[in-house]
Amino acid sequence: MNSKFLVSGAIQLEIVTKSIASHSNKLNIGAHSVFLGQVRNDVINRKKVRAIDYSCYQEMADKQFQKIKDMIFNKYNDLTCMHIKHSVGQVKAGEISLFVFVSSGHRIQAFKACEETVNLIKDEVPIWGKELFDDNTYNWKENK
Amino acid sequence: MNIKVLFFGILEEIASTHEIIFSDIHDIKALEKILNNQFPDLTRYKYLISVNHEIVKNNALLKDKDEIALLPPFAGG
Repeated sequence: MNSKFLVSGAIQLEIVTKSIASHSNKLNIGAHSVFLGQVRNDVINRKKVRAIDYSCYQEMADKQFQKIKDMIFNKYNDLTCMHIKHSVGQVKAGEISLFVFVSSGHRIQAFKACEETVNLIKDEVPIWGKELFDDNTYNWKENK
Repeated sequence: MNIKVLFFGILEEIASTHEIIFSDIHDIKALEKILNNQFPDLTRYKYLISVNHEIVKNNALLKDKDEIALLPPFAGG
C-alpha cells in the first residue's frame, strides 16, 4: 500500500521492537510512548466479532494523518519523533490495527502527545470498520 | 462541468456504488437534493461531506473536477 500511514492487514508486532531499535542512536530522546489498538471480540446482538474489515478514503486519510502529526508537533515542543500506522483490510480479533509511537525528551509530553494523537485519529481520519461475525453477517463499527 | 461523488462505508451500500459522476451541479445543496431523490435511504444516515478532501459544513460552490465524498461517522482505531 502506497502510504506512510496505512498498511494492509494486521500490524506485525515486530514494528514495536524495530521502532525502538531505530531510535537508539537519537540520544536526546528520554521517553517513548506507544499505543497499540487491538481488535476486540465484542458481542453485538449475541454475535461475536471475529475480525474487522477496515476501509478508508486513502487520499484524505493520508492528509489527515499528516495534519494531526503537524498539529501535535506544533503543540508539544519536546517531541522528537512520531510514527503512525493504521490497518486497512481484515484484522482478526486479538491482532493490532493501530500503532502510535511518540518520542520526546521527557515522559510527560510523550504520554500526552500519544493520547491526543490516538483521540484525533479516531475523530478525524476517514476510516471505517465492518465488524465481521462467524455467521458471515456484519455490522458497521461505531466509535464510542 | 463534471464532479465526482464518492460513497464510503455504509453509504456505499446505500448507493450500491463507490463513485458517480454528475454534470452541471453547482453547489452542495443542489447535490444533496439530487442524491436524496436518487437514494431516499441516505436521509436516514448521518454523514459529513468533503470537497477535495476538506470537510465542508455549509453550502459550497462546486467547480469542474471537484471530488466530493460522503463520509459516515469515522470508526478507525
